[in-house]
Amino acid sequence: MSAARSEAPTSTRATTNATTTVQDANGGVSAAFALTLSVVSSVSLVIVNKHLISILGFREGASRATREGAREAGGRPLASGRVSGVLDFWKFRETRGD
Amino acid sequence: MAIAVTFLTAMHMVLTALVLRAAARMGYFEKKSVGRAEVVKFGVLNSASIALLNLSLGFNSVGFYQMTKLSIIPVTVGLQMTYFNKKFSAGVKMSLLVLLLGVGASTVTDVQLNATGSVVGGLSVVTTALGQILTGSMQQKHQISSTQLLCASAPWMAMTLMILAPPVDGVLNGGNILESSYSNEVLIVAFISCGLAIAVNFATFAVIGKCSAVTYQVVGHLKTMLILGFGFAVVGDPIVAKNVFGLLVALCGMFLYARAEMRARAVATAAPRRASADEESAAGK
Repeated sequence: MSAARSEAPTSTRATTNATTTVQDANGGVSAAFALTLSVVSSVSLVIVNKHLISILGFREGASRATREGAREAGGRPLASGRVSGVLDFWKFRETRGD
Repeated sequence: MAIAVTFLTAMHMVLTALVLRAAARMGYFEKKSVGRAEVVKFGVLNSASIALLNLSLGFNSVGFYQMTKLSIIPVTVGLQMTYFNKKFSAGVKMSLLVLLLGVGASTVTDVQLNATGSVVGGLSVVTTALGQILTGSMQQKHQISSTQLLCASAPWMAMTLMILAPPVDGVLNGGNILESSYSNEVLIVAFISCGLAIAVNFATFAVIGKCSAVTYQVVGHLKTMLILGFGFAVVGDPIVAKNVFGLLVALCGMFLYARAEMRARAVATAAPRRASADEESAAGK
């Protein structure tokens, strides 16, 4: 975490870590709830976005064309290999910077 | 028709901002104002990070994109150690190394390098790491909850993404997103995506605030591993030994990270207690 967090008084840190309620008066939530929600919602979002892309009939052509153009403009391939089938999940772009 | 992903992200942010405003009005939490200049900079940085990550995947191979995502952890650790005076125990650093090796082995495949993609990828890593560090430090600095920070910054993030979406999506997909027309089915699924994104945005800020930016990244890789496992177990993707080995190593790294973090926190909590007990006993003498 940040410098401010590492320099926070121990009592504050202990209170924060010991939070067990799902939500406090400021709209804060417990760490366990946040972690669970993060995993469940992120995975669900990926699945919904994948469905969205499939109904849009997304083809990788556009991004491949961009990539090829950039490579031809001065880059060079470092190595190449097979893209695994499971990585199809990442062939579309993500909507969060995570 | 390709998806205008930056525009979709902008819609995610618009809905997040609206829902949080409504929740604050209904009394679910108290809205707090943060300095405008600071929150605008924070919003712009986070939006730029999302746009750059999208551009990075457009300009780079999936494998190189995965590598840039992996590098967010070491960059975050480096930035926090250098500029935020944060210390990481040897156990945490080792567990992160194991995690990165595992995720790398299972996801990085077709690494191809090009100049434009590398610059965009590098910028996306730095902005993402900085944005996530600031998400935590701003909550501490202003003594506000993750929900309050998200509520204050979401309108600015939405506005920046709305401005960035046409050129970024134009570069990635070609054409003008504003001239596209979508079927009802697409609009319904996009709306569901927006609903889920509210939960994702809410959880992102909460995890970084309650835990740390690095923990958030580790959880992000757990998500990746779950999707990979889902691919093997449910979708019937071919089981590749290297991928399975990487998945197991990554899970091992996550377990070690959780243990190292808990140990580091226990030490941080115990040290001042011991010091105050020593002071009390010295005063008693």
